[in-house]
Amino acid sequence: MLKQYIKIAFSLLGILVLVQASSGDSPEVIKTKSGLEMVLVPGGSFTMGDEKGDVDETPHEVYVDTFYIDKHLVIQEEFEKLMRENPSRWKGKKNPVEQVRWSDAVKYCNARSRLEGLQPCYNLETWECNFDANGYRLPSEAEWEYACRAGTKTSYTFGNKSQKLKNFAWFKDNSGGRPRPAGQKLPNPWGIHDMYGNVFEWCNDFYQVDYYQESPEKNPRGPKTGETKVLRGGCWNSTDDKCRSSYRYNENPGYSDVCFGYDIYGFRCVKNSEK
Amino acid sequence: MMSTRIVEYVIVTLFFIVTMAPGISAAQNIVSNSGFEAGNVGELPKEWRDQKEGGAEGRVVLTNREAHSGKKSIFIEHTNADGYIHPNKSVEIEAGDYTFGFWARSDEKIEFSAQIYRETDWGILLSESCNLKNDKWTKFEFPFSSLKTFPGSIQIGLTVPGRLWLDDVELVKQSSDRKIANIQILTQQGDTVLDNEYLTVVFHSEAGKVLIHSKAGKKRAELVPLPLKGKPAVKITSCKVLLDTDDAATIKANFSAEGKESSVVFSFSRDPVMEIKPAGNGVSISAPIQYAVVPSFISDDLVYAPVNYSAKILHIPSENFLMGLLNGEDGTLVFTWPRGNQKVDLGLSGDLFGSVDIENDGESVYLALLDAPGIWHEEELKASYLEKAIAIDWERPFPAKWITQLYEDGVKTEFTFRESESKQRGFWRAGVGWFTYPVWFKEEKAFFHLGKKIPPKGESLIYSLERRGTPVSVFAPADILRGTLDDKTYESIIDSEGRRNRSLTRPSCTVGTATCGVTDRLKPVFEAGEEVEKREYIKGGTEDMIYFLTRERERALEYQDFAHEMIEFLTLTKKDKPELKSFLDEMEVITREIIAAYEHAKDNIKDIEYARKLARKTQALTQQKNPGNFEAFMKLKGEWTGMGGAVDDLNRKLHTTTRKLFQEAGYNCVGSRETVEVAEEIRRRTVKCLRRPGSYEIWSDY
Repeated sequence: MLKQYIKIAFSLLGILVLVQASSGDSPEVIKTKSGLEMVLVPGGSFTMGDEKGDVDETPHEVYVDTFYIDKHLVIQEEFEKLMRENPSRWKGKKNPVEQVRWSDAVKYCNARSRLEGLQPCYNLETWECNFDANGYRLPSEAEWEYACRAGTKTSYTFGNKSQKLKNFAWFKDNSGGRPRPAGQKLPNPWGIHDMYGNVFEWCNDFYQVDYYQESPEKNPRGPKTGETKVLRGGCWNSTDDKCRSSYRYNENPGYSDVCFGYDIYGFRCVKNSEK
Repeated sequence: MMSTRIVEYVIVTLFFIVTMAPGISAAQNIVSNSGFEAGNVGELPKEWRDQKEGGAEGRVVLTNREAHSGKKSIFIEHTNADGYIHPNKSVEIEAGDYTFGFWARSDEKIEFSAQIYRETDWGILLSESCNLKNDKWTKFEFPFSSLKTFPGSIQIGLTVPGRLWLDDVELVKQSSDRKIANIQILTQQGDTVLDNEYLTVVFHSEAGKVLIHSKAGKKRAELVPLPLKGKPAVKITSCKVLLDTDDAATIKANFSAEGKESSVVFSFSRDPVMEIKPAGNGVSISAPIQYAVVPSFISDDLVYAPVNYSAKILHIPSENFLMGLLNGEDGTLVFTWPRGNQKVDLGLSGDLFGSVDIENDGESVYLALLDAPGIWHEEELKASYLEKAIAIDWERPFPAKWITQLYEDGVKTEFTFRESESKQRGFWRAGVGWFTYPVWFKEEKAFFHLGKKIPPKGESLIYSLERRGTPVSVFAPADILRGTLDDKTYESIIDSEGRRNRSLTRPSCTVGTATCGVTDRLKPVFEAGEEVEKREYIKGGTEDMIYFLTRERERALEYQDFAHEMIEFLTLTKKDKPELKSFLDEMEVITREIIAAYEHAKDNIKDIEYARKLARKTQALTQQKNPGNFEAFMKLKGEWTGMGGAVDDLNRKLHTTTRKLFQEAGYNCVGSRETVEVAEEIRRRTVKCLRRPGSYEIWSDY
């Protein structure tokens, strides 16, 4: 009998933890003109990186300004509506768009800005980002990790161990070898879904292995030049270690022709806040 | 005696010394019509023949449009991706040292072969892979030696589609007064001692062992007959010299212990190989071996490290070829044995393998000692190696095809060190995408560039099996294989044919091969609104893509047949040998991954009927000009490339998983001889499936 009470107590505790994780102190959520939900991420400081991670994850203090971030990954339905094509291998309206190059992602950002009468951030000739523009862009690597961590300091938002990852992410252990519809797993404490797993997310920054040793403390935006762009969050094919908040990946920005079958790259957008 | 064949066939050595020595007299080219000036343009040059092997298509003709010297050269065009097309010429080769050289050019980056055969039995005497990187005439030169006179055949040609011009072929005999040192048999302190250029072998009566020393005087290995291994007070009771000439020696040694007797016949030549023929059931060779390598030329080598095992004895697959990398990184023992029912055990001794025991099944065992500081190297791949070029603290002792294994997709994968650094992210492979090629040399120094895709994880073991620009004075392990085993066995192990990529290009190709390349080339036609005028070209492109998709799909189905047959084999074996269930279950899990990967990708790879529909739709756009044609084509392009990308990715995955099965069978069978027998069968079947991969699975000769 006592055992049963203990079981029930633990189950209730578990539910409570999950509810806590899904509600938390959720920041404000807005609906854009296109009808997409964005979370207002309050500016602040955090420790970026993880001393237990790879050598490119050296912990350091970073401050980022307030910004909006898509609550969900960009899904195929939205991408196709705007770009009139769907490059994804794993078709499904609500599935995240994948097989997108970095360059495809920023073209989408500009198209979405234009649709809402905002100033596009990207120069599609030079691929440079105007961070002062009020349109959509890819998150800087620092913005991405800050939004992902949502105030937490552990390897994952729910702790240092990965057992609970299956509640928050589609990754190697539970994805069945393919991306899954966005928003089916629990969000992070700030209400953002799929920050871990499903598809890797393009960031705006060039990748540099030792960038953290030279990056500015305030709003770091990556090295000026580079060969590859940063990807974050892990994907449906990743092991738990690659889904950590601080794990860094990188890829050629022009890459991802569908011939090459890279169905692990997707993205979400951010935009500056006037607040 | 087998080991004399090495000297006879390949390298006699000392060429290096010969070429460095003063007093080399002027040499004469023994190839007639070497500049291709005699003969009519459009025909074969006088005294030359041509050959198209294995379904090769194309032509070999004289041309006056290109020449390195004079007015003509020979032009080779290979129009399909099958077989080997080449001109050939008979030459009389006498004993001595030669330089084989020629000039070549191509209009694209291309790899081609240069070979010299013995015409009496078509044994390969020299086989080099040559690379042309630019459009310029380039000289190629290879040293080559022979101890005997025989009719030879020069062959230079293409195994891949492309165009090649050749001129000024030379086979020049170098004269030299230097003689190769004779084999000597001596008696020292009552023991028989054999001495040649590479080895000093002491038949130690009191110790009851045969001691194998390098020429630098370092004891490298000890040998006793297997029946007497571990017995106290083993003695060599007699040593009888059966043959003693300048070129060869044979010694029969009788061993005894506890009233038991066993004899072994040893044969030596002018090379680092000793032939060992035990009268009993085998030999035990003791040596401080840090890694044991079972090479594979179709898949990845098995690398056994003592630290990974707690058992005292490992039973390993007997695949005619084994290398023991000696402690100190300055020596390698190469073991070979002919086809038979041999058994091979590795004995652990602390952190090392202390012995290799070979039950010889009545056949000879060949043992060669290859000695050079840095002949192999172990590099710990530190986390700090991530995403940057790292010069490691090791230099290659000589040029060769140096290889290592690194993790790719979680599976150990062989990489050959390149001769220079590749462009950043300049290397592409299906499934992995773009990455920086991870290993190369800058002059003799070795470099690594590891990243998130090929991560710095574990150790990298660097060693070589095959020649690549290797001086003739140096023996490669593959030379030992060639010199000691019969041609059929050697060819089946080296399997040059199986290492080549299969062709995915339509024989009468119009636009290109893969869906991306073809649709990329068709795109500007639609963009310019020229689709009606270029209707035939577009039709050809769709046929190219259907051919490509058909071949890729066939390949995926080959893997499925392989996996289903393997499941059947494992199921039957489980019934016969229930005691091996746990090993067989592990193998089944991996095999089922091959089936699951196909099932998983089925919807994305679609079928050929779907490709035909796409072809009809694409061709329909060429019937009439329409402003919407370009957009319609771009949609179809996405469909074509979606199909192509999915099947490329699938085949890459199938290849990787099948290699994993090949590896795991070899690593997990070490517990019992019975398991080894099953593992050998799994590996035989696996290699058969992995032969002739498509270029999206792995690169040629990887």
